[in-house]
Amino acid sequence: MLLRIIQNPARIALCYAPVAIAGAPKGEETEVELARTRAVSKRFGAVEAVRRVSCVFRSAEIHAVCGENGAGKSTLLKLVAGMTGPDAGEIVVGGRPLDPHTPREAIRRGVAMVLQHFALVPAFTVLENIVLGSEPVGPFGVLDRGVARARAAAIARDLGVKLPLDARVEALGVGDRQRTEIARALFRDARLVILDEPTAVLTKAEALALYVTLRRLADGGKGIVVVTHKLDEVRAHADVVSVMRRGELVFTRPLDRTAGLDGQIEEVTAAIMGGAGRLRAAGDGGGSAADARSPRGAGAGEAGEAGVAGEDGVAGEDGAAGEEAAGEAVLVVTGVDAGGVLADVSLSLRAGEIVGIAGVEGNGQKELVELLAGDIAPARGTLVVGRTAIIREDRQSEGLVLDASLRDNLVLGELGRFARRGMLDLVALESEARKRLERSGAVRGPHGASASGSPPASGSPPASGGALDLDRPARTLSGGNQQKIVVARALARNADVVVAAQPTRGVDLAASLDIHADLVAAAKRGAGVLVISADLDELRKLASRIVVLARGRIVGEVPPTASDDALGRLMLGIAARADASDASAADGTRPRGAPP
Amino acid sequence: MSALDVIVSGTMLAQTVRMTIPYACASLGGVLSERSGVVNIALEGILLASALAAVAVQGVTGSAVAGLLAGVVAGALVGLVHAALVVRGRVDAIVSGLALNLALGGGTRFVLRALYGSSSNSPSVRGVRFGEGLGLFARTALDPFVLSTLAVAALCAWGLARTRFGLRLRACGEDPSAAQAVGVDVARTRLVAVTLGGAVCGLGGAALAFELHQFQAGMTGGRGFIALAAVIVAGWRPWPAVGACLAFAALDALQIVLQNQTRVPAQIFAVLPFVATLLALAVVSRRSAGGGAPAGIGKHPA
Repeated sequence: MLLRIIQNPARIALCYAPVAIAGAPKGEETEVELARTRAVSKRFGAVEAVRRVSCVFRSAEIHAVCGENGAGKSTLLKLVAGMTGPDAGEIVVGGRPLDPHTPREAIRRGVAMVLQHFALVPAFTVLENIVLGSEPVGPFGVLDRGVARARAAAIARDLGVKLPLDARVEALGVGDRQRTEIARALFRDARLVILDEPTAVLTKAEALALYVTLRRLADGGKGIVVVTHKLDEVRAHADVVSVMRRGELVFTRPLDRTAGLDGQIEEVTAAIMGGAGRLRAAGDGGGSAADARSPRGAGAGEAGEAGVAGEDGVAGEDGAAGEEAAGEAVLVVTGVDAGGVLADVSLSLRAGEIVGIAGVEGNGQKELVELLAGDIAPARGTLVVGRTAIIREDRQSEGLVLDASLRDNLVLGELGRFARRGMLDLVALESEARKRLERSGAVRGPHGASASGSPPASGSPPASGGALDLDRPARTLSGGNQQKIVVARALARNADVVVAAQPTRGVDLAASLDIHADLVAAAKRGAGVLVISADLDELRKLASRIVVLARGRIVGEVPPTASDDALGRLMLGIAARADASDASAADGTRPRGAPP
Repeated sequence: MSALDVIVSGTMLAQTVRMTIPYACASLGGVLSERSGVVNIALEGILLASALAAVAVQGVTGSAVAGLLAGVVAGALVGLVHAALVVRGRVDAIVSGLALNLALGGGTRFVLRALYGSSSNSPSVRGVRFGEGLGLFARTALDPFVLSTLAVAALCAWGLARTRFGLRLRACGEDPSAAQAVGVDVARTRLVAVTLGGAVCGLGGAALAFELHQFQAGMTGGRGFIALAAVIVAGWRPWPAVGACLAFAALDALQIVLQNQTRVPAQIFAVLPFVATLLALAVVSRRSAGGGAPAGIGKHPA
């Protein structure tokens, strides 16, 4: 997956241009240290999220912080932004130790963080959100709305973006929300802007636009920190890369753009992956822990490369599996209109096959999922479908009950299976939940490493060891592990049709690979799998054919080998089918910031 | 005079306006508190406490202004206690409010007995004498309580929309985590908001006591809860809350007239305001969009 991104010359040229021009003249003398951590540690319960990390963040550069889910990268930066206090060590912001550890103090010293789940007040307008916390006021604390508006407009101009200042944030898309967050950071004169997984929710075009904006800010002297696990973004945009693994900083180094990038990125990959951490169910015990402590050890490099090779191997297998399969149809959609968006959709899915749905977000993907889930009925046409399991796009609101235990989440919606005469068979429920949790591979966190190393024996003792803690609320898992729970539950139903909507969005590389393997296994078992994703590489890797959805219609079907360019044209509806009747509907669905 | 004549009379209108004041002050206090994200069912208790404080202080000092201030301060204090329990102590706001209502219901009786040796009512006080020489209209329109209630309503509406404190208060109510993330001190903002709300509600308590020229045990008779309903009906907005209170007060005034003018058992009319509240809430709670509750109500910042 990774290599394929890298080898696409057209995209790199596109991403690269601003970097190559702007990044080069930045010498050491113009870079000022904005923040640094000194041997900082933070623990949450039994988990040491950040362990003795020392890291420097400078002005006029884009600093990418990489690592798997739960590696501690968000926690590290929340420490820098004053959102949480350290247990040990020191955080120096603006030349002095940060004290008190509050966002207010961090902001005062010029550090602002844009969170993954935006910290905007939905009911407020964009302008209100931008000024909140550092409002320009006249006498008696009366808001000076003229000044607020003028400054916000100036910031939007500097960013090179349009901001609907009077629109309520709840009515905006993610791209606008993110721009609002960035504008807010600048409104309070932030010199170091930290973004947590900024592109996780963006389309490719929006992500590109974001990096153009970020580069503009870095050129203007701001320090930019981007928490990400997308290595193609690191490769294309970062000036400095740091890698966190299991709470430790294992790698931090500038990217030398004059030298070959492949090798450098491979080193980053190796640092992220660590030792044998990739292999599910195989032991990742003592050896990898030792690796974690030796910064970019030679051994880690090798293991990482092996990992990348393995990944390609999986991809190859998938393709083969997809082509061989020719079972009976498990899903037949014929001429369906639904949800006011889908129009004349026809689609079929055979047992054992993986079909990808590509498209710019908001072109009917949501409605397609709702249709297959039975949330909405077709207004026209027919839908023949076998037993269906859905992996919803928004795991936090639709996939999980965050405050309920893993046990409850793992059997959610299937209580009937465990009920006898109205009483729950708790023993059966417990053992099924345990089985699913083990299969999901979700709870293999820092403290679970040794316990999950050995394959679980049947009738293993109850979780006194704490490794497989079914009582843990789902909220306490990282995003990737939450998603693994959702996937495990969906696949445990042995459904005929598996619909996976953005199955790896906001999920780290290792978890993504696990989830991909799960979906492939489901297809091998005989399910028809429909993968709806904004990530073309994901679709290419998994699907045997890719169906493109634009403006609620299926505009084409291509093999996974189709070029980005061809797919992009289809997705934007440029190829042929833009008849006049669609024009009005198109306004609402047109991607923001799409390249011409 | 027939019942209808009384109902459409100027006296009745003036009565309605005066009866609106305790409701309106309590609901404005509720708006301030709840827009900051703290549910306030303690309005009933605040009305009681401030009514007693107003009567007791005027009784001692003979000054209406001192009594009024005492009422406001008592309300603010109860608000502060509620806020401290909820914001600092992380006590559930319903539990805290319920506890305050019970404690103040009993506490005011206890103080009443201790001060005046009566379990039902205080000796009468002068209250606020105003506009003896004026006509009914001027006397009502220029009543200090009416004017101050209108001023408070205007200040609330304007302050929430146009001041830094108002913006932060609303942010705490809509999304406390977001507010905290941008450096708003959520706990402090809520403490101030709920205390201010208590003070405004206390103004209503003093008005209620001065209207009747005495304190009576349990004299609020559910006004705090009806004011809370008005807050909900009004979608947590100050002026509509005053409007809703005016409607409830009109029913209240009506039921008094009907009790006196007809032979129907008084209890039937006495339930009128409550039935109306029930109906209004039933209708409003079905309303899906617009003027909804603050989204962060009852939530603490992460």
